[in-house]
Amino acid sequence: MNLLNTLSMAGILPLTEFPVPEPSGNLWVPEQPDSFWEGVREIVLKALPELQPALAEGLWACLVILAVVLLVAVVRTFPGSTEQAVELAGAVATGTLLLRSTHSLVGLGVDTVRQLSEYGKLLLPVMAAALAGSGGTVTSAALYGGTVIFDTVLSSLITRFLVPMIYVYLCLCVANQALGEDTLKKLADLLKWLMTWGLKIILYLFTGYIGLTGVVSGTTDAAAMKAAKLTVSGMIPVVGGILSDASEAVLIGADAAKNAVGIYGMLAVLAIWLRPFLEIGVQYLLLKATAAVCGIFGTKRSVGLVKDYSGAMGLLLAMTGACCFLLLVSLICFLKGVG
Amino acid sequence: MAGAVLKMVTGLVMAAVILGPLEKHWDLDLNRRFQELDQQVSAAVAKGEEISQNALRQRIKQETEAYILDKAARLGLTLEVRVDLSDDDLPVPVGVTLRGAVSPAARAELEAMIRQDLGIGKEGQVWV
Repeated sequence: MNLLNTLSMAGILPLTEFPVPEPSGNLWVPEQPDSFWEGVREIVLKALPELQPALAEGLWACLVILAVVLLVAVVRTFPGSTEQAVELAGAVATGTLLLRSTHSLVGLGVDTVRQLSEYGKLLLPVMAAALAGSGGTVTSAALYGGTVIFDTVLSSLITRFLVPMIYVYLCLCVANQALGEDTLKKLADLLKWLMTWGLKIILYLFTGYIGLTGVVSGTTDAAAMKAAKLTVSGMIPVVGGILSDASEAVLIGADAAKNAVGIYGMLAVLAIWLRPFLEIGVQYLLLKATAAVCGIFGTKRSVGLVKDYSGAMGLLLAMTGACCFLLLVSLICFLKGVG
Repeated sequence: MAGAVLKMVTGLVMAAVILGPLEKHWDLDLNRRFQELDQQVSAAVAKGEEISQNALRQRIKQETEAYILDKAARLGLTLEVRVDLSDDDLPVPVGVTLRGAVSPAARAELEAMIRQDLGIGKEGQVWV
């Protein structure tokens, strides 16, 4: 931001020509970081204290789950107890206890995906304009268009299909614990596999598109800039010198503006994504640890259900992480520019 | 037999539940969405090019005027200068308007310099 102010004062490029969009309702974006890593550090330091309530609530829920699993294991040893009835009761208790926290975290995940998508819609046109201004016309069009398409597909897939499927997956897992049906377990695993691979395929395709775009459109833009330089070199020396200096100054200014907007944009994306990601991650790790502890004394089905819930949290982490990854990679490509 | 039938029906119901959300979203209207995206992309790129082009034109104009003023000052002249640029992607100076009191000898020298250094012929030079 300091370099941009200097360039603006030198009259090279107006600072207000590329206005940086601010994420709505988010106070975590650093105002004037000295560097990108300083900004990241500031965001992380703000996020960590916010996790304490989630950690406390998660720990309490896991302790209760431990108690339920222990109770199921103990009651099963009583003479005259029916395995099916005990497992059914255990499934209902565990499912009910984890439902509230799961539902709120799923809501948080969906909200994060929507915020990232909406912020991308504000930021990408500014980045595209800045890159076009610094000579990357073809590259900026390809990056902007491609990112919007993949972001729309990914966020629509997540909010309209994958999130409802998480609930279906959890229903299948609870039913599996209650009834002990292998078919239900296989169906749940298939669903989880489909969701994981759905996300992976979109990210693989996006990464491939970005790589191809960088080569093809980058070459086109570089060739256009080289042609412009050749034209200038063929002019009268004084005029050529003036044109060359002016072109270089404008390119430097546009590049600096692009970098400033891009770095702020990346910090804003991280600010939107980090706290929800950490909150879901805390729940994921707590459930993993709970499943590991329950494994010592719990029944196979009740431990499996806790693992399945942690698996659902893992899917949620993957979804929010995928959206953030897509935007960050796109911004990095914009920052890299031409060549 | 009844158990197998029940399992099959339950499986079909679950499959319908899983696939149900997909059916609602077949109508994607891709043509309209791609057209809108194309317009957005074109608008953003055009905006960036316009900003860059305006900054370039301003910079070239300023530097050319500064060059002429510098040369005029060496001849002991105090002038007001306005340079006109071409409308090309790479704008070049095509005309200059000079205002101020100038002796014929100094004017001739300055005109020759502008013609030689900047490629602006006599017809492009306007003295006020």
